[in-house]
Amino acid sequence: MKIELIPAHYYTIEQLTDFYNRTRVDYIVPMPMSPERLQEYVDDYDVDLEQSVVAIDGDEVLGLGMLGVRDGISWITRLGVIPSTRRRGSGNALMAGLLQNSEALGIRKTILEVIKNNTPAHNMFRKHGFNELRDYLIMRRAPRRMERETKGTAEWLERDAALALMDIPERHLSWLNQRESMANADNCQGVMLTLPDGSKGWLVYRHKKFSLAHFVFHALAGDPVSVATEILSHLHHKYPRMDAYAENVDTKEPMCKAMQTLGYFEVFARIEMFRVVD
Amino acid sequence: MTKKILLVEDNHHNATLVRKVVASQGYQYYWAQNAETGLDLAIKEDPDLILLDLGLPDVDGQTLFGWMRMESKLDDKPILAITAWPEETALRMVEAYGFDAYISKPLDIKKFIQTLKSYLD
Repeated sequence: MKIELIPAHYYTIEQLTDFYNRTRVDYIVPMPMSPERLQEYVDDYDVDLEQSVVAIDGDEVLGLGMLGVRDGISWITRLGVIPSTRRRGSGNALMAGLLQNSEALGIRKTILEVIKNNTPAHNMFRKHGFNELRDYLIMRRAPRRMERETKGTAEWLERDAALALMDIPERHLSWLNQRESMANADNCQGVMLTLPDGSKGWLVYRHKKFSLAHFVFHALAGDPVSVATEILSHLHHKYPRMDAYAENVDTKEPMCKAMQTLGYFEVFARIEMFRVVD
Repeated sequence: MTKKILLVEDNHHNATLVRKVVASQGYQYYWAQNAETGLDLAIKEDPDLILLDLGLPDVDGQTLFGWMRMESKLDDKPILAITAWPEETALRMVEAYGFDAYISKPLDIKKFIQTLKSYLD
């Protein structure tokens, strides 16, 4: 058996979608994609398909992995091995290939997320030199009327004004929610809230066709949890029929606590890991 | 009158299994592979029971459920989630969104038939 790594851009998006979905048939978290969704994923998250790889053994596809590249940092994502081809070393081969491509670009830092309790993947990432950085939750809220009264004055912001708020260099955000991801999408919006006691904060989010997603919150004054709670109340008052899907919410963030009081529930959890080479 | 079941499921193998079981019980079967077709078919065919796969690749089953409940023709139809999510998560989804029940994948055929009968007979 000989594992070869083929650059992903040699395949069509339909082929890559098929390979990806086949790697996920028995996954802890069911998350199939359509070709349109995978293309959107590639575009939104700066996935470089020339640096991403598909593992094959002759005519047989074994798995794939994708590499996002931004500002001197790389991000490993959508890594998976087709169940019937496991235990042949293709997971390690994919990781090695992605890291080699990353280093060839002069990149020293690589991050990724692993689903909590995916022990085999977690162990493999540790073997490749990755260490745990932070815990994330994926939170969801079903559409329903927000019973809680709103407080304060909300100013609703269009895309450019919302993106302008996100210039906070010291703030660490998950790759999915970084300014670049929000800017790549055309549905980014925001809201600035000022409360009667002078507390203030903003929320930037993506207003997709069927859901509100990718929330980034920042408190400017006052108690962050209270401000987050009031901002989310305003959001759900304005859009009572929209599903909400908040991906990679830092468990230590004030917004996480606020969500838990407003009808959000935890769907699953991820651990962000990182690796730095000399 | 023959009872009608609509399945919204993108996976052919899963859909074929459900079709065989449904047919064996004498029900009429409709199948949509994505959310938008599923909604159209639900409105057009007025099924007696709707089964939604939560893991649809374009718009997920939870969102489709929300759309269906906003249609006056569908707002009191029994709608069941079909899902491979772990039980704890599946129960949370069902409760949060308001599904009538859920069916886990892989299908337990005997249990599945009992569930169908409980809603249709």
